[in-house]
Amino acid sequence: MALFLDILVAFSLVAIAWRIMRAPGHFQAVVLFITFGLLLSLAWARLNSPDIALAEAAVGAGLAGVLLLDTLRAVAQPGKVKTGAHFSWLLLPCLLLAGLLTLSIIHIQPDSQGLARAVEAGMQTTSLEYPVTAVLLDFRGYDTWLELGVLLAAVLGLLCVRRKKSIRAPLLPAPAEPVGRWLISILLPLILLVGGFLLWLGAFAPGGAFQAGVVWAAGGVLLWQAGHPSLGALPVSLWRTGAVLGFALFWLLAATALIRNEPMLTHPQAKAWILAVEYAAALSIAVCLTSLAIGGQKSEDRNQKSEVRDQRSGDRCQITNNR
Amino acid sequence: MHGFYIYAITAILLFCLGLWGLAFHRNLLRKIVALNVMAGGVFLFFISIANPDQSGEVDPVPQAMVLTGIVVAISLTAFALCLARRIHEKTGQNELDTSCSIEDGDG
Repeated sequence: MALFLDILVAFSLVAIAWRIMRAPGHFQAVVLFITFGLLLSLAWARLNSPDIALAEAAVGAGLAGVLLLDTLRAVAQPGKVKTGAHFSWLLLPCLLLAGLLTLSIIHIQPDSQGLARAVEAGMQTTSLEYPVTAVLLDFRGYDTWLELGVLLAAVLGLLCVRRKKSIRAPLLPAPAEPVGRWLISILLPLILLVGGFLLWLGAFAPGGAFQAGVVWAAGGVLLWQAGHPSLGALPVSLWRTGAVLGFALFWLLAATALIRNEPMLTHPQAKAWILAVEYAAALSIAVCLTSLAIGGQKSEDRNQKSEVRDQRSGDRCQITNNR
Repeated sequence: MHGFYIYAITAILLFCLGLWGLAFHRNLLRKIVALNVMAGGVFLFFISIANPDQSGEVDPVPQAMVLTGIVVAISLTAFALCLARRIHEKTGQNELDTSCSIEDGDG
């Protein structure tokens, strides 16, 4: 039964990947890609990796889908007929490569232990109880630190390409309201709660900063999709602080360790310290991913236009305040 | 043990299909999607190798690295899509024009 399920998931993944490449319409390809993300998270669940399954379901199927659909709408060429994907002889070398790689994995002797034992030995020295979170925040702090740096760099790059001076500019309310506000009022508290729960869970069970941040980012995107003014009403300084907080705390950690003449990123074994870093990382991931999702909007090249929009968002704020 | 081979071979096929799509699609959006499929293949291979018998504890280090990788991949996707939009705004095209050289490309 388990074998059957594995084969089914594997076959569906390959078949969908094939359809993504061969789909004639771009919209079809994007929707298939969202399905692909969901199936991939099923594969993660089959591979005993609930952390990755959670992150994949939110990122691969959720945020990536929003980004792709949004861009598809922006770059659509109405007059032009969508050119279909042509079959290409390039498939042959790619299949050859697949054959060679498959030959190579037959000779791999899977080492079932890997680094699991080393992590287990290290667990005594850390105050965290869940190994994946311990690896992320304690043993391999560099990875998480630099990953937050990559996120920050992507946000900055986006601002540069869109020629925006602040994160605030992209935070204008969306013109349309595809999701009713009543839906937001039901979903948003739930999303906040689920994110917070995942964050709290991360210390001793599957969950943690990544999953929580991604879930919160989904909430932020939903808020923006509904044309809700609350995101635009937030002060810019708050956004900037949120975006750099995780990176800055890691930096502080590294700097203080150097001052105390210890190896970089070692820290006093206090749970509060680790939790502070984890919470800051979750907040930064949420803010950065939300900025990435909404920041791609067309930049305002007319001051007048942005003023009108500002005014409108101000009006909306007043309306909500009056309620 | 069968799980390792099933998912590893799936991962290789995903990687190669993604590579194929990246090579032959001219549309930038489709290229970015293909790149994401490739990334999915790499992550899947990493985890399938870390969890060969699908039982008991999974090596936490690859899991943590894939988690990091997923977030980096979405950052990359967002930035690439932003560049694609910029290219569309500047040229009205959804693909890169590779026929012109740098000298006559300033028009």
